[in-house]
Amino acid sequence: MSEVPDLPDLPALDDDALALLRGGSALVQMKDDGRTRLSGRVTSSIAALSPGAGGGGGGGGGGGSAGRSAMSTMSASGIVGMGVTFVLGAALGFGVRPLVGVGGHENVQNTSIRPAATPPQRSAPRTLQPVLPAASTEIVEGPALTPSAGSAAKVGPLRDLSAERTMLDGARAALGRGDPAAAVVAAKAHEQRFPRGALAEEREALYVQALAQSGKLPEARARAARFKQTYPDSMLLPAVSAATEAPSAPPKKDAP
Amino acid sequence: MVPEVVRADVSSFQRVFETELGYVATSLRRLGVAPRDVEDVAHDLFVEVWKRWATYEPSRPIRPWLFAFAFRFSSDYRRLSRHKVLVFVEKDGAAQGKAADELLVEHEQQRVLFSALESISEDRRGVFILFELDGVPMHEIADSLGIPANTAYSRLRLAREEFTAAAKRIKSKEAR
Repeated sequence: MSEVPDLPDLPALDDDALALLRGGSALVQMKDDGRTRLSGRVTSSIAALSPGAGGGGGGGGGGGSAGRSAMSTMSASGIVGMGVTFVLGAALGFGVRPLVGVGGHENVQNTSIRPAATPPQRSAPRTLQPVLPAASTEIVEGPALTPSAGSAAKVGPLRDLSAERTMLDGARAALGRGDPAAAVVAAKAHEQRFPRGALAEEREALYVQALAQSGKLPEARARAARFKQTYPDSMLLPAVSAATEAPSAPPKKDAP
Repeated sequence: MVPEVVRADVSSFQRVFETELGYVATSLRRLGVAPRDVEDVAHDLFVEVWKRWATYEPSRPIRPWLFAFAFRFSSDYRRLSRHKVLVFVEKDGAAQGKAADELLVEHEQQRVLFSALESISEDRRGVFILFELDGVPMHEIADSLGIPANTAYSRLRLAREEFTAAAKRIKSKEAR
């Protein structure tokens, strides 16, 4: 609470009001899985804003399905392999890393979190590497959370997610180095192992791009049509459409 | 080669996301965003923060700057009619790392505070939250919200009256 010696004319808050302020002043914390999903969504939306994002921009719109669609936009838009790795999502891991204020209340003070000394520039492309969406989001009102038994319960699904991500990272990397055939193999392997995995949407988007870049346009278009039916609200739709509409070309490897 | 400047830019944004997500979520709740919508609004907010990252002045405190985004996004949010009901229907947050009864008390205190904040008109609420809860100096508040200092003082005065009245109402209701 602020002392207000510089505000002599203002009505002071009485005890009831001050008690109300103090009682509810703790920070709201999002649960770990919500943080993880949000980081993925933000990452994905930022990727779509990057130069050459192929129309996938627009900031994500905040729709409920946006987070599920987070992955792969980068490769779809030719950003893969271009350089900077956006580690926001990766750094958050799978919901077990302590984040804001973990371990106790964080004072909401006039803190200064300073961006790097170097001035930000926007011209260079980025390779974004978001984390993957998790199950459900809930806002936990009250004190900051600590890693708990709840994290342990997620180990199984998280391990699967990790494996899924690794496989799709392989597909994405293959696309990035101009090896769509390898990307097709990786996407196919993911499909066989995780036909209805949490990252099926991302896999399908990658699959379409890999097929298109391999010159297998009819197959790519058939898969793209199924993608549009299955994920009509996907953020990856622009990338999927672009992959099948445009003449196939390997992604650029160098920053402009 | 990756330009070092871009790496630093991304890294600093990442750091702010990690450290300030709780603050942003809290601000959104205080400004009337329902728990179920915090993630969506926070998403849009951080994307906008990224777009405007180059305009952030590192010598200034980050939270008033972020609050200005929260204020604007929550304002837009509240204009949507679909959000005008059930604003304070709370989900039952899972107890993690705290005794359930302790959490319940804290949740209840927050719920009551958020409810009291609702009684402050929208324009004044931002000033009130920044000053009374975030401890931001008035000149920073005026700057962050883009209003003259006199206006900020005036809003704080009225907001205090509204909040005090709300606190009285709440107390009298509890006493019944």
